[in-house]
Amino acid sequence: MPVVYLIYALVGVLFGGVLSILPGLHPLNFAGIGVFVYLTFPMDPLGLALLFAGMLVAYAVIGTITTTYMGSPDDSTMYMAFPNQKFLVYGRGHEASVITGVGALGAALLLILIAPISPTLFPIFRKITTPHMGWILIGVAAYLLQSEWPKDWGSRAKTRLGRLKDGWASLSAGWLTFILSMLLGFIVLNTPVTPADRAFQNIMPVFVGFFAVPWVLTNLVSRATIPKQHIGKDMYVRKMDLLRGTSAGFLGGMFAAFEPIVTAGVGGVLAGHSTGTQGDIQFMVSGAAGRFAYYVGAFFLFWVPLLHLTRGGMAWITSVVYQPRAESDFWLLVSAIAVSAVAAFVLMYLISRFIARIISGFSYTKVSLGVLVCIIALVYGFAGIEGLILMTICTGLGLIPPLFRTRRLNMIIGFFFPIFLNMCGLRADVLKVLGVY
Amino acid sequence: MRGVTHFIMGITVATFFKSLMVGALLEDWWLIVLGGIFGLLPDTLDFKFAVYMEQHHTVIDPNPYDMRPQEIAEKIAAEIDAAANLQPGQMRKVKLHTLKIGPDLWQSYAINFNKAQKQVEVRVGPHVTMSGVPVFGTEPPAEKAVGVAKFKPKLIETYGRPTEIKGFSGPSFGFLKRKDGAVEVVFIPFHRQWAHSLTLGIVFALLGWLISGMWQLGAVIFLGWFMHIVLDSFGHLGNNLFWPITKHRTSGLYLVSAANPYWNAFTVYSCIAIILWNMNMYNAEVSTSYTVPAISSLGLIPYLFFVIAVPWSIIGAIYYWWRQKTKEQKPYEIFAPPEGAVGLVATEGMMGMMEQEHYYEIEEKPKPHILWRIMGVGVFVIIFAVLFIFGPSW
Repeated sequence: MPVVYLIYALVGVLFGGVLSILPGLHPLNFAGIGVFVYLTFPMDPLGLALLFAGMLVAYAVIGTITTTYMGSPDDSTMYMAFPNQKFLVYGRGHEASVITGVGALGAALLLILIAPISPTLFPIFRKITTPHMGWILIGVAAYLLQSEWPKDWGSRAKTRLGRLKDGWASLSAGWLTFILSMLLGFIVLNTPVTPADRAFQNIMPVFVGFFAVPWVLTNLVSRATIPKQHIGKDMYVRKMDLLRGTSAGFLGGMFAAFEPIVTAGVGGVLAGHSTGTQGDIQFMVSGAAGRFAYYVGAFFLFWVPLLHLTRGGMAWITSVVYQPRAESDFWLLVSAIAVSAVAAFVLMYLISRFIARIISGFSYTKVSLGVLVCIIALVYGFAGIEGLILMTICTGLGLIPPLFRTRRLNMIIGFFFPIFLNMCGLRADVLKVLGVY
Repeated sequence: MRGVTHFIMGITVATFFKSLMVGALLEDWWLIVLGGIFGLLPDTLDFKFAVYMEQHHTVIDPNPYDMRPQEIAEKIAAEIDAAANLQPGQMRKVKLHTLKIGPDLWQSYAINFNKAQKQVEVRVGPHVTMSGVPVFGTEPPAEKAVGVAKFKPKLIETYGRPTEIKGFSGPSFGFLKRKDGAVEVVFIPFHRQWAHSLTLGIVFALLGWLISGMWQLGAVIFLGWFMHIVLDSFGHLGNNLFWPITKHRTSGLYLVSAANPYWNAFTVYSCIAIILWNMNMYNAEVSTSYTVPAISSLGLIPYLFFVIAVPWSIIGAIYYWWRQKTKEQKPYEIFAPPEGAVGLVATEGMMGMMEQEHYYEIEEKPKPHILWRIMGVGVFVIIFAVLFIFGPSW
């Protein structure tokens, strides 16, 4: 009864839609909620898996609303946070939401288009690249660190040394962010600081501290007021921007979904550089497409016949209750993604319209304060007091990039670098050098 | 070419070396990454070090709230005149600063070297965002928008379009006195000098070889570096290949635009396809579990044809068709026609980008002799042929 299963997916969209507008939530939390749902309401495992699919699609499409209106981005939405908030300041917040929604829909379309060749293509990639994963990940980290350029905006210092110092201020801060995040990664990834019963939420406070809280604090300091939002039917974008943004974002997102540890933000930067992404619109579309490909793509790979690659929190938790068996299951998932994406887009449109109507005139300070309270409550609820302490430490780290105009992705690369080193067999050596092994 | 293109090209040449690939498979070596690091290093050295070492004779740093285009034009023209009085081979340098007026707002202005009229033209534009999207209502009044100043010497300028000074760090210009008495405009003179020379590449390679004791590592370092120089020479600017023996940067081959998204994406994709071929081939040396025999049995030429040539010919044809179609056309929207300032800002921003992508079609650009251009491509092809043939024995 495929129709019944599609209803499961639509219920997932509704559930995920509600959760997506809570700032600071991450699919890793969804995975935790998934366990709760399964234990409380035993149901058909395939139906539950498709409900998770609906939730994930909703998160990928609707979750950008918090970035646009409330300024609480995560790693996957950092890429578009700046242009989206700029649109909000110009009274075009709803338009920004729709543009990012279209980007996500584009990624859904591409995912559906590659579905027929996926059982052939992805197993080949997996087979060939698996033994090379270590140096590929080190290469990604090396590129991201090497490709950050100075942001002195043209130093006015009179001497060569003065100019060099100005230029290297942001670069040094970038390296400092990387090193401190790496040290944190060695600690948090070795010894979970959250209580044992919530160990699966270990990384949530880190991500919230790195991205969401610093952005909210910055908004609090800026004391801006949200202007009246224009709610029209227009969306000023070119076809080429949609095409380039969607394809770049999709490639980056799928790379991140396929490779372990690589996140949507990292994949987005790599794909953006490779395809020459330019301009606010392309960044917004690309960011949304990348986010969709990363979260939903990772779940999709779990279902691909002959592949069954388990990547991402949702795939891991689903693998406990359900394992895809027949090819028909895969096509059911593809259908569920298609239906859920359209439903999530409609829901996102309605939610965005509603928020755009009521948010104008609000003090951004009050909105940001509300968001901050919400984030703190969620982190406390999911990860306890230890999680809050971890979040505070990560917030300190997360404030370095906006203060010194350096790349925020250095935090992600640094945090996961211990895993990269482990894959290259270098972790023990580095730990010895650090004196902790 | 973009940084990621150079980086992945360096990685690609490294994956031809059997010893490094088998080392990565059996002992988790990450030395292949050195190809990428050295592939990007020339630009790293230029934009993180050399840029700060440049000394300027004139620094133009206007007040964004009181722009005086005439003053800017006169200062630049004076530097061109001063260059005419130098000895051949000497240069005067001018730095133009960008003008940041908000978190994402810049005062834009543009410089044009009008060779025919022998004048420097300066136009003050509106405030723009980092992406170059103009803010309407910020344009200066007509009488304060333009400055023109005459210069005396014959000017050689190959860029062929105005230089816009918007976001990030501003450009610098060198005015080089030539032996024939003319003055040549050198765009960002610090760039592609010592850091883009073969000599420095050889020094790094020798150091890598001496430190590691592996000649393959030295070869990877040199090839990563060398491929950067080869790729760069395909564009508008060349390199100073034999610094310190040679003193100046050569002209590029004008084959592709460094910022062109099609060529960058094509190069990155082709590199990934070649890396996968090499991975598949060397995986077979270690374990059959990680190899796809169907790819190996297909053969190299058919693989390159079907995996790279066919899809990119199709994409290239569509891209060319699209460029021709949009060349003379104002951009348009998919859901609604532009109305009011919001629509205009959106479309004008896009126009700025379209102009950038089309600038290589300016007719007056001088192209190097066809033989040089063929030779440039030939070097590239020969390197890959050598790597494909001899890589499996290195």
